[in-house]
Amino acid sequence: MRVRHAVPFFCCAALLVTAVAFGQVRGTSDRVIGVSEITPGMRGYGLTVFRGTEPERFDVEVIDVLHNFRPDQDLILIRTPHPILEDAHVVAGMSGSPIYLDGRLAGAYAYGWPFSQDPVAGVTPIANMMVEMRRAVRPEAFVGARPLAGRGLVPSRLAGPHLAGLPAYRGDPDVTATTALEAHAARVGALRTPSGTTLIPAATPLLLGGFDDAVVRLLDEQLGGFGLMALQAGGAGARTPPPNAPTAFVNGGAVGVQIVRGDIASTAVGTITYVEGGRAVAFGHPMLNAGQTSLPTALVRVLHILSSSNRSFKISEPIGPLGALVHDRQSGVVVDSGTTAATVQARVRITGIADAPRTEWNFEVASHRVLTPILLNAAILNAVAATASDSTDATFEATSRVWIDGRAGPETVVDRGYSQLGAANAATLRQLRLFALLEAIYGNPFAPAQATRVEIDIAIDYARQTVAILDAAVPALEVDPGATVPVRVVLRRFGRDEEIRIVPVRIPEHAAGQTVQIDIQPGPAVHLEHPQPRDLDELIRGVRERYSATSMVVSLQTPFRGLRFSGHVAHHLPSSALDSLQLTNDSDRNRPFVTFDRHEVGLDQVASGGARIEVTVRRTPR
Amino acid sequence: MIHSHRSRALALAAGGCALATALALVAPAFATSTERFVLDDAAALAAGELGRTIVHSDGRVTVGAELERIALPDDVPLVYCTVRASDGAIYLGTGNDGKIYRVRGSAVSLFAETGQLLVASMVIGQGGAIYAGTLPEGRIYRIGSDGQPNEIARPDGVEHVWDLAFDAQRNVLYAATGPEGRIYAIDPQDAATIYWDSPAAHVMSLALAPDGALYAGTSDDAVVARITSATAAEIVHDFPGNEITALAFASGVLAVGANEFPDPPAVTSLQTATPASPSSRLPRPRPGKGRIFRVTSDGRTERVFEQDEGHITSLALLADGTIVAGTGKDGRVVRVNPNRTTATWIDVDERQVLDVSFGRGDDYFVTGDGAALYRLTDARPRSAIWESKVLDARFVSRWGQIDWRGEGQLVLQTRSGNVQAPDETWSEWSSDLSRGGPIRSPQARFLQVRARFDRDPDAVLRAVTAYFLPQNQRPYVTEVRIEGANKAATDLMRAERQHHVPDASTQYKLAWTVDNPDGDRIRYRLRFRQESQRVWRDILRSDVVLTDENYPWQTESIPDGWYVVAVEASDELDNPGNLTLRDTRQSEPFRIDNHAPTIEQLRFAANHLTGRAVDGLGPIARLEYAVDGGDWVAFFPVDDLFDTAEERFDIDLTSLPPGEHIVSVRTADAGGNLASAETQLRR
Repeated sequence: MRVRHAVPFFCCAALLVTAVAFGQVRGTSDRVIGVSEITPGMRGYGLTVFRGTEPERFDVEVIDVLHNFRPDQDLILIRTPHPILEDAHVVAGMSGSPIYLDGRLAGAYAYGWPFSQDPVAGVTPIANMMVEMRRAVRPEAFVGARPLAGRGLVPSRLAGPHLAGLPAYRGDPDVTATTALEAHAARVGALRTPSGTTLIPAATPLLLGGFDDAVVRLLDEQLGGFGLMALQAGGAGARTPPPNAPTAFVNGGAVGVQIVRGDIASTAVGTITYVEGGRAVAFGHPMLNAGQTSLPTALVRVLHILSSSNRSFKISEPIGPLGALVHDRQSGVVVDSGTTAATVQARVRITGIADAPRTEWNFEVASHRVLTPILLNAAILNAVAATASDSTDATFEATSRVWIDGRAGPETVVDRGYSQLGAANAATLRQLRLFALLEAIYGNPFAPAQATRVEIDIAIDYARQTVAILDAAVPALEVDPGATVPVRVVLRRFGRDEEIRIVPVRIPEHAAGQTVQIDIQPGPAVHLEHPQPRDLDELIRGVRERYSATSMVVSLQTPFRGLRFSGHVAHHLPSSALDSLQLTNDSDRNRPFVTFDRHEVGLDQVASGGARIEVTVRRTPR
Repeated sequence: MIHSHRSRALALAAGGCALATALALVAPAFATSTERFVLDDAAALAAGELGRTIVHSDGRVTVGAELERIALPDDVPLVYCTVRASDGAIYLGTGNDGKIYRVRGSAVSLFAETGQLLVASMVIGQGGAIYAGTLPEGRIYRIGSDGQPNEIARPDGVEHVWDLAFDAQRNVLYAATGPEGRIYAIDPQDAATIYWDSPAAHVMSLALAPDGALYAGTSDDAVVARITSATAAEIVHDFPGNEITALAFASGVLAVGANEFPDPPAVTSLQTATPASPSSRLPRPRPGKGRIFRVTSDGRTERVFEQDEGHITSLALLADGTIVAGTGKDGRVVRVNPNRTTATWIDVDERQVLDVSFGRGDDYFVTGDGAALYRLTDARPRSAIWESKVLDARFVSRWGQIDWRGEGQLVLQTRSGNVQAPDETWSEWSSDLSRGGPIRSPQARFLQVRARFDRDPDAVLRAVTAYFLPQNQRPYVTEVRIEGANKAATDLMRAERQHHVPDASTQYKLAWTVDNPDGDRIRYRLRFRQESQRVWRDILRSDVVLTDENYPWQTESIPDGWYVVAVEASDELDNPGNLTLRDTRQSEPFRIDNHAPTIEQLRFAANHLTGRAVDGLGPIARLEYAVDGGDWVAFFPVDDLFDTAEERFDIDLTSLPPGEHIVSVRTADAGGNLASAETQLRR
C-alpha cells in the first residue's frame, strides 16, 4: 500500500500517524516501537557519529514519556550514560540520532535543556517523523530544483506560488536583507534567548568557513532564534572525498544542509534518523520551520566532538553533496536524496582598495526567499570586512546584478552610500536594493521565479564624499502665481566651504492664494509613487526606479491627490476625476496620495540632511 | 419632514386613526405627540429612488422614460466618456484599462485598447476617425475603423486629456489638458501647439461654437473662457466653485456645469505598498455642489439649477434650450426646461452618470462605479415606481393614516423596519392602498412609502403624508445635586482665613439633570425625608407645576439633621395618563443645620475663662474670643479637636493687664450658625 499516492496528504498523514503508532505500516512494523509501549527504565541504544562517518552506539535509559509535548507529539525523556555525553551533555549536531528501545526504532534524539548538568535529552517519536517523511511534495515549491532521472516530484492538490509562507511582496521600498527573515521569525515564533528551564531543540551547529568573526556573530544573532548555532569551524569540506566515504545516507549517519559553499561556506549539521528508499528523516526538530522547502544537503564527516559546559558540538565537514532537504517541519527535516536543490551562483568583488589581499569571492548559496538575502548580505559584509575593515569614512558604490531563471540579461541596480564607521557597516549594507530585488523575485505574487546568479561589485573609496543639505531659502516669502522662484539651497561638502545651488521652482498659477510647501531632500528619502505591479517586470521596475543617493529632490506639494492602479499612477487629479476613479468597493490599495511636483538635482556625492520652506502665493500677480 | 401634530394623539391613542382628523378640533390640549411625515416638495420627493419616474421641481411625480440597460464586462468599472458615430455606433471610453468599447444595437464589443488607465475624452474627426484622449500620460490617439490606436500627440508636461473638440472647418483637433491647464491645437499633420495656456491647473471641458470660438472650462478655479485664436482669449465668467466639468453650446446659448468641491480628503504623502486591508475606510472626496448656468450670447449668466450634493459631470443642450445633465451622486440625470423648471428625470442604480448624449437622434447616457450604457426608449415603462427615502420616526412608532394628493389611479404601499437600510428584517411591502387609509405595516422605527403608476401611466403624485405616534420615551433623572448643602461649612473654612464668620443660609438649591429622549415637557415633583425615616414629605404643594430643573428650597422650618431629597420626573404634560412615564432619583444624604449653638457655663477663675459650646446637631466648628472689643482670636477646645456637638473650652488670660475687661466668646457649628456670649471680669 502506497498511501501517499492514493489520498490527499492530510488524510495520508492521519492514517500514517495511527498506523505507525500501532506498528501497522508495512515494512516498518517490526522495526519501530510506539510511544505506548515505552515505559520508564527501558534501556536501549542510540546511533550517532562521534568521529569519521561510521555511526557508533551509545546507551540510553528511558526516564519517562512527556505527553502532548507539541501538538499531537509526545516526547520520550532519556538519559545517555556515555563517556563523551557525560561531559558534553547535549551535543549540537546529534539532533536526529536514532534511539532504539527493545531493538526497535523509538525516535530521534532532539531536545535538551541548555546549561543542563545531566546527560538528559528528549526524543521525538518516530511516528511523527515518518508522517513527514511520506508527505507529498508540491512541485511549485521547488523552483529550479531538479529531480534525478526517473524520479518525479510528487504532485499534490495544494497549489500556490512559492512565497515561503510569507505575504507577497508588492513593492514596499523599505525592504532590507532581513525583512523576510524577520517576517518568517514572527510567523513561526522563533526562540528568543532560551532560559535554562526551557526544553529546546538541541542546537544545530551552523559551521561557517571563510567568514569574519563579526559576520559569524551577525549570523548567530540572525539565526540563533531558530536553534542554529553559528560556529567558526570550517564547513567548506574537503576538496576530495576521503577514501571509503559513504555514498548514501544511513541511520545515525551525519547529514549537512549546505546553505553556502565555495570560497565561503556554511553547513548546518545533524544526524539521519531513518532512511527509507530515497528519503530520510533527520534532526527530530525543525531547522527553520520553513515547511516545504528545497535546500542542498550533503554527506558529512565528523572530525571531533568538542565538549564544553557552554556549548558542545560536532566539528565536522561535508564530504560530498547528496540530495535536498524537502521538508522542514516540527518533528524533523526530510531529505530526498534523489533531488538536487536549486542554488544561486554568487560573486562578490571589491574594488578601490589598494593592496587588498583578496578582492573576489565566488560561492554558491541556497535559493530561498528567507535564506538567500541574509546569506548574501553576510557574504557581502564578509568580503568588505576582509578587504576594507578600517573604521573610517567610506563611500561606496554597489552594483548588483541578478540573473533570473529563464531570462537573458541581469537586472541591475546601483546603490551609493556613505558610512562614517567604515565600509563594513552591516546597517548600511543590508539596505542595498539587491535585497529588494531578491524579495521581488522570490516574493512576487505573479509567478514562481528564481535567481540563478548574483554579482555584486562594490567600489570603496576611503573618503567622505558627502554633501549635506543645510538650508534653503527663497528671495521672498510671498510670490506671484506662475512665478519661477529661485530656491537657494545651501550645501556643504566635506572639507569645503558652503556651496549655494539655485534651483528654479515654478509656482503653479493654480496655487494662487495658498501657502505651498517646498521640501529639499536627499534622493532616497523621497518615495516615488509606483503603480500597483501587474507582473514581475513591473515589480522589478519599481525597485529600480528610485531617486539616486547622489541627488537632491526639490518637491513642491500640490493640492491635488493621486491614485495608484495596476500598471498606472494618476497624479494631480481634480476632485471630480478623483471621485470617479475611486470606486465604492475599492480596497486600501487605492488610497489617494498627495502629489508633488518634483525636480531631481544631481550632486555627484551622497546627499544627507534636508530643508523645508513655505511660500505664500499671492492671489493675483503683483 | 417630520411635523408634530399635537392635537391628534388622543385619537390615535384610542385607536381611532381614521377619525383623527375629525377629532382634532375637540382633542384635549394635553395629548400632543402625534407626528407626521410630509413629502410635498421636489426635494423631499426626489430624496428616494425613482424607478422610471420623474420628480418635477413643482413637486409632481410622474411616469418617466423606459430605459434599456446595456452592461459592460465586469472588469470595466466605469465608462467616462462616449461618442456617437454617424453610422449609429456608440463608442465608450472606459477605465481602468483604457479600453474603448463599441455598441451596435445592444451588442457590446471591444473596439480598441490604448494601454492607458482611462480614456477620458473622445471626439469624431475627419473621415469618421475617432480621437481619444487619455490619462495618466496625456497621450492622444487617432483610431481608425480597424480599432488600431495611433498616438498622434503627447504634449510635454501633460498628464490628462480631459476633453477633445474637433473643428471640422479648420480641420483642427483641440485637446483640453492638465495639470498645466493648457489647450493644445493639433493640426492635420499631428503637430501640437499650445492654443491657450490658462492660469488654472486643468482645462476640463470644451465646447465649440459654430463660429469657431472655443469655450473652455477650468479647474481648480471655475472659469469659462472664450478663445478665438491662439492669441485671443477672453473670460466669459468666473463661476462660483472650483470646477467646470461640462460645457455645451447650441443656438447661441452656452450651458455650463459648475461645481464646488470641498477640500480633498486628508491623506498621507508617504507612498508605501502596504498590503491591502479591505476593511479600512478610504478617504473619499465629499460630494460636491453642482450648479448649472445658462450663458446667453449677450453675456447674461443665470443659474438654472443647483443641488448641494452631487456635482454635474456632463451636459447636453437640446435645440429647444432644454439642458440634460448627468450627476456624480446617486446615478441621476436632471433636466432643466427652457422655462427654468427642472426635474430629476432619471435615477439608475450606478453611482455616477458620467456622460450624456441627448438630442442627437439616440438619447443615452453612461455610468461609472458600475459601468453601463442606458438608452432611452419610446416604450412606456413596464413598471414605474416612486419610492420615498427611508423615513425615520426616531423611535419605534405606531403608524397611523397615510394620505396623498395626486391625480389618476395611484397605488401606494408601505414597509417598515428597525434598521436604517431596508433588509430582510423589514416587513414586506404592504397590500395596495388605492386611497388614503391606515398604514398596514407593523410598528417600527423606520418607514418607507412607494407609489406605483402601473394602473395609470398618466397619474400624478403631488404629496404624501404619513402619521405616526412614537412610542413614549421615559424621562430619566440622571443626577440630583444639592447646591449649598456644604456651602456653610466651606464658607466657614474660607472665612477662617479671612478672619470673619459668615451668616448661615437656610436656603438650599436643589438641581437635577434629566435625559429626555423624546423631548416631552416634564413636570417635576420634589420630596424629602430624614435619612433615618421612611416617610416622604412633599416639598411642593400639589397645585404647583414645576418644569424647571432646579428649585430653591427654604429649610428654615426643617429640624436640623441629615436628609435625602427625591426628584420625580413625569412626562404627564404631553401624554395621557395611561401613557405617562415617570422616573425618580434620590439625592445623596446631606445635612440641614439651621440652628445656632449656645455658649454655656462661662466662668472666670484663676486667670482662666472656661465654658462649653453646645450645638443640637454638631459638630462645633470654631471658637473665638475677643478682649475689650478687639480682634477675634481663634482658639481650640480643651481636647484640641472640633469633633463633637459639645466642646469644652479653657482660655488662659494670664497675659491680660490687670484691671476690668470684657471678654467675648463666639462659636460656630458646621452649618455656619453663630452664637456668642460675653463676660466682665477683673484681672
